[in-house]
This record gives sequence, structure tokens and C-alpha cells, in this order.
Amino acid sequence: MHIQEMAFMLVAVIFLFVLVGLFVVAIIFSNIRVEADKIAMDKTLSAIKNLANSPEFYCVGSKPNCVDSDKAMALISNKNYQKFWPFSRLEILKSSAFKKKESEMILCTMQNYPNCDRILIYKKNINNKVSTSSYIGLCRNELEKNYNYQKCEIAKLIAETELIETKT
Amino acid sequence: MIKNHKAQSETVGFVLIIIIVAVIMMIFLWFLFIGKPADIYTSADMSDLLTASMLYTTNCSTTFLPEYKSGRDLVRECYTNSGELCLDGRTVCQALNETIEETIRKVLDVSDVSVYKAFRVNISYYEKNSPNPKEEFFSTGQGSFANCTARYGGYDPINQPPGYIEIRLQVCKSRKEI
Repeated sequence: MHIQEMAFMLVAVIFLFVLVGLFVVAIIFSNIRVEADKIAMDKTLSAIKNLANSPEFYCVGSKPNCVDSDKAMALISNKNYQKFWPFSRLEILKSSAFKKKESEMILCTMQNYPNCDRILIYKKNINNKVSTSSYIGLCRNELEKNYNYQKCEIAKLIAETELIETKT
Repeated sequence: MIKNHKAQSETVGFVLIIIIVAVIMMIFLWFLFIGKPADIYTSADMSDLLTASMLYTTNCSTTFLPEYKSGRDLVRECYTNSGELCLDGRTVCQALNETIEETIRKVLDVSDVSVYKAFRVNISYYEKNSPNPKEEFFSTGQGSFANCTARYGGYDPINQPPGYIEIRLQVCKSRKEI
């Protein structure tokens, strides 16, 4: 009879520990994964946000999160900036490109600007990379009825970073 | 026989306690995963979208063309003078509503079949140093916030002495991943 009681006791204790274990694992996984994703996202986004507010990009009047597309166009042919920023690719997607495939997007050149979808500032050929993006206001000077004004639209600033592989 | 009966009663009692603990755990787990509403995450991405849509040049001008208002100008004017008209006859608040439609709904592609199934924008005026809104003067949105896997929120403050205007964006992420 004592053996039977002991067996019952053991089963019950194991059952209890399994339940507690499940409970703890569920809490740990749900919180840590969400927190890790959030921290990683915030970190990369703040890097892009700093970029949008840098002198090379910011708009007249230093509006927050605003990129001057005329300045961005001037950077296209400037190779010095490829070493200046820690990104392997830097580009701006205008709102007209949001629902288009990459092959359908019109790349901006001095000839077709501003009637284009994508301002590719520079791109290095790298295989192992991760890209992050942030919404920005993309502004340019526009002339209408002999009056100069700033026209802004929503765009995405996309930055690609090289992933450094750890050698074992 | 009495000893045997006592042991049996103790075992039954113990099993009962285990069952009660298990049921409590199950209820706890149910609340943890299913029962509670989706968490609201403050998202830098949503705040950036909101800031960018406030920079957006609208097609509303209240003075002369081409002095078009930005989203931010329309928010201010919708608060201070909601009856003011754009040159095309719309009120500034109607123009603001259309601007939000134009920017947030289209950019996020809000619909029943996409990743984002609903969004809501609330704009309120706050007194300085007060955590509670004095007045919510504008709200718009689309879709239902039922069964969201997550809710993402962003905000953008505008200085409006003696207080400030706060624009809040809340987005409902659907269960469907596309």
C-alpha cells in the first residue's frame, strides 16, 4: 500500500513540476522574444533616423525625419559617401514605389527626376546583408505659377548593413 | 483496514489538490495566451509614419495657390478654426481626414486581407503638464480592432501654446501573415 501511495505521490509531483515548467517556459519565451525583436528594431531604426537628420539629408527648416530629395539626388554620383556611412546600400523609395515590384520601379536619374520611384544613393555588392527601413518625409522644391514652395511626400529610407559572420 | 482507508483518503485528497492546482494553472495559461487582448506596442515605425504624414503636402490651400497646407498645418487649423475652408470648398477638417486616408491607409495597405486590418487616428488637445486630454477634436479610422494579434501605436506631438496637440495612431495587425 505504501508503494502505491508513493507511486501516486511521484506521479502527482512530476505532473505538478511539468505544469510549472510549462508555465515558466511560456512566460520566458513570450517575453524575451518580443523584447529582443523590439530592441533590435529600435536600434537599427535609430541609426536610420540619425541618418535622416544628418546635414547631408535634412530639409530646409530642419524638420524632424525629413529628407531633402534634391540633396539625395546630388549624392548619387558622389563615391566618397560610400565609405562615410556604415551601410552597404542606401536608397529612398518614394510612395509611388510602395506597391510596385523592384523590376517595375523607375530608377531616378538627373534626366527623369522627380518623375521616378527610387533614388539609389549607392550600393555595394555584398552577399550577407540585412536591410532596415524607416518612413520619412521626402521634400523637394517645386515651382508652380512662378511661386517656389516645398512639396513633401511619404517615402521610405532603406539602409542595408553587412552581416559579419563569426568564424569558428 | 482503518489504516488502509486513511491512506486512500490522503491519496484522494492529494490528487484533488493537484487537480485544483492544474486547473488554476490552465486558467492562468489561457489568460496569458488567448483570453487577454492583444498587447499594444509603441512602435518607432508607426511614429515615423505619423511624423512623415504630418510633413505631407496636402492639396488644401486657404490663402492662394500654391501655398498648400501640410498635414501638421491642417491639424492645427482643424483645432483652432475647424470651420475654415480650403479654396476648393472643403473644410480644413475634411481635408485632414482625406490626407490621413491618402497617407496612412494607402501606405499601410489597410484591408481585411492584408497584414494590417484596421487603423485609428485620434487627435487631442492637452493642457501643459496634464496627462489627460482636455479635448479630443478629431478621430478617424478604418476596420475593426477585434482579433488583433498585436496592436502597434505611435504618436506625434505638436506644440500649440498654452498646451500641445497629440496625434495618436493605432494599428491592428491581423492574424494572417502575408
